Amino acid sequence: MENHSQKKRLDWKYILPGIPAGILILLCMGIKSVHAQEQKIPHIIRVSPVISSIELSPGSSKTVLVTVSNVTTKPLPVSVSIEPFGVGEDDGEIIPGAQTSVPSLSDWITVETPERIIDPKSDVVFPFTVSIPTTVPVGGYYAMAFITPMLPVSQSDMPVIIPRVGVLFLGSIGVPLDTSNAQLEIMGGGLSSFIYDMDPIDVSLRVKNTSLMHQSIKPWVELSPIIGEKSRWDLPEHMIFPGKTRRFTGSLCTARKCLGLYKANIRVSAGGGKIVSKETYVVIFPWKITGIIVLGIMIVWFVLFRRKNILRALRVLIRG
Amino acid sequence: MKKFVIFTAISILSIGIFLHGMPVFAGPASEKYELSTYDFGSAGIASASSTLFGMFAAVGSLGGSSLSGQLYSAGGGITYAQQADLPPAPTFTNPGATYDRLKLIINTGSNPEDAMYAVAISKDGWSTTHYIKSDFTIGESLTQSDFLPYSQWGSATGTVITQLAPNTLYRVKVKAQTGQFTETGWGPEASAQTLTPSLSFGVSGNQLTFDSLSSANSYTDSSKQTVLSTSTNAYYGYIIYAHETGPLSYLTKTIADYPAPNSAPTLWSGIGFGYSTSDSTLSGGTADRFTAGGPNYAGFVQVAPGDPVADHTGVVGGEPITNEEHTISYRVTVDPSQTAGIYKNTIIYVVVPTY
Repeated sequence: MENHSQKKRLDWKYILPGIPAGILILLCMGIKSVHAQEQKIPHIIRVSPVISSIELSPGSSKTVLVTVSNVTTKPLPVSVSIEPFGVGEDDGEIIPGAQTSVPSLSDWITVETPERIIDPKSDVVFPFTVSIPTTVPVGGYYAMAFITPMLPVSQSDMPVIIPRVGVLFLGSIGVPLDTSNAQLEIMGGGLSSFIYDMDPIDVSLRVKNTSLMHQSIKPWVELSPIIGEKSRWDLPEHMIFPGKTRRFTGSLCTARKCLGLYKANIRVSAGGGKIVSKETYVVIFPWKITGIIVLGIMIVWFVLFRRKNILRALRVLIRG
Repeated sequence: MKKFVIFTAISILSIGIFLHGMPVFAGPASEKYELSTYDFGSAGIASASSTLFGMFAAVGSLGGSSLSGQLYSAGGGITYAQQADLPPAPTFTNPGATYDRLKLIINTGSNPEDAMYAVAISKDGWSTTHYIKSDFTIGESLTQSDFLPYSQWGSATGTVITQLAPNTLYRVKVKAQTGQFTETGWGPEASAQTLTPSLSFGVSGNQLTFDSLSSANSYTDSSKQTVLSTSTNAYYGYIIYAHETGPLSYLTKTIADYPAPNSAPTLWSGIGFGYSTSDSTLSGGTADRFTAGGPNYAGFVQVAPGDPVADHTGVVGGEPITNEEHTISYRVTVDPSQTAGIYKNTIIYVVVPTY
C-alpha cells in the first residue's frame, strides 16, 4: 500500500513539470502549422461571364455585357481587345488568335471604351456590341475578347509579366441556339471487340459535328448481356465546334462481368433527346477467372473420376 | 326412350318458364328500387360521366382532374389505390457553382424498387414546362422512354442535368409509375440556380529581377519564379498560354531563347533564357514532360498566344476550381562574353476557359 502511494507521488513528480513543457511544445507546433499554411497568390481581376452565347440573325445587333472586377486594393487600368480563335482537331483545344473562319465574329464586335480604370475592389461593365452584316452565311461564328490589366511597373529595366484573361463569344447567326439542327456522326473507335481482362475497359471514340453550330456532346456506353440488366457508363462531355471532330475517351469500370457475348451501344447525345447510336458486339473473356474455374473443374473431375490413378501415382511416388 | 326424351324436354321448358317469371335480385334491392348491376366501370362511358366526374370503364376510377383544386387533389377509385406513391420533392442543387448544369437526386418516397420516375423542369415558374430526357438534358416532350428507374437516375448519388442556361432559376418536380395505369401526378417542386461563368486570375509579381550574372554564379540564375493563380467555375477548366514579345534585349544585344520547344523540353544544357512549369498534367504533349526527371526547360515563343504552360483540362465535378496555383520557373544562363547590360522583355500569360 505504502509502495503504491509512493509510486503515485513519484508519477506526479514527473508529470507536473512536464505539463508546461507539453504546452510549450504544443504552442510551437501551433505556430509551425500557421507558418506551414501557404499564402495563396491573390487574384488581380475577375471576369464574368467568361463564356457568352449570342443568338443573332443577319442584319441585327446585340450588346453583351461583361463585368470586370478589380480585386486588388489599388486602381487598375484595364484594356480590352478582340480577336478570333481557332479550335484544334480531335482535342478541341481553343487556340486564341488563330483564325479558322473568314469572316470571324471578332470582325463584328466593337467596344466603345476599350480602356478603363477600375477603382479598388470595384467592377466595370464593358458593353460589347455585336453587329451582324445583312448578308452573311448562317452558322456558328466565334471570337475571343482579351481583358488585360495594366499593372504598374516599378522599374522599367526589368522583364515584365502581363496576365490576360480570354472571354469566349460563341455566336449563332441565323441558326437557333438549340439542338434542333444538331447533326452528329460517330466516326470510329469505341470498344475493342474482344476483351480479355475486366477492369478497366478502355473506350475511345471520335465524333464529328456536321451541323452549322457548336454542340455540347454527351457520350455514354451501354453494355447489355444476352440475359440480364444493361449497365451504363457516361464519358466526359465536351463541346464540338462545327465541322470539327473530337475524340472522347474513358474507362468502363465494370463490376465483375461474366464470360459472354455483350451488346455494346455507344450513344452520343446533342441534348433534348437527340441521340446518335452505334451498336457493336463485344466478347468478354476474363481469362484469369475463367482459367481458375477451368482448373477447379479439372481438379474436381480428377478427384472424382481418376482418384484411383492419383492414389496409385502418389503411392509410387512415395514408396518408389 | 321416346317418352323419356319428351318428358325431359317438357321438364326443362317448365323450369325455364318458372325461373323466367321469378324476380332476379342481382344487386341490392328494396321495395321501390333495384340496382340491376354494380360492376366496376360500366362499359357505357357516356352514361357514366357528368360535368363533374367521369367513370373509367376499365377500372372504375374517378377522373382526378375534376376533383382537384389549387390546394387539394382528391383521387378516387381503384386506379388511385393502384397508383405509385407520389414522389416527394427531389434534391436539386448546384454543388459545383456551375453555369450550365445542376444536380438532381430523386426522392423515391415509399415507392418500390422497380418504380420509374420522370422529371418536369421549368425556368419560368411553370409557364412553360419541359422534361428531362433519358440523356439528362432538357426536351420539349415527355415519352415513356424518359421514365427511368431510380438506379438510372443515379440512385442516392443523383445525376447531373446538363445544357442549362446560365444565371437561371430552374424548378423541377417528379412523377412516378409502377406499371400501366399507375402514374402519379407531379409531386412537389424543388429549385436550384445556375450561376454566371466566371474566371479570376492573378500572378505573383509583374516583374522579374534576375541576379547579376557573373563568374560567381556561373553566369546563371535559376531562382526566379512566377506563380499563376486561377479560380473558375468553367466546367471544362482552363488553359494558360505563355509567349514573350521578344528575346531578352539590351540595346541591340539579345540573350537567345532556350532552343528546346514546349512539346519536348530538356534538362538544361548550354545558354539562353527558358522556363519550366510545375504542371505535371499539361496538355500539348506528354503530360509530365516538364517535371519527369526535371526540371526540364523550354524557350518562350514570340507568337501569340504561345504555348501551354499550365492547365486544368479535366471536367470539374463537385467543387469549382479555387486558387489553383502553378509555378513557372525561369532560368537564364549566358556566355561570359555576353555584353554587359540590363536585358529585358515582356512575358504574357493568357488564361482562357476550355470547352
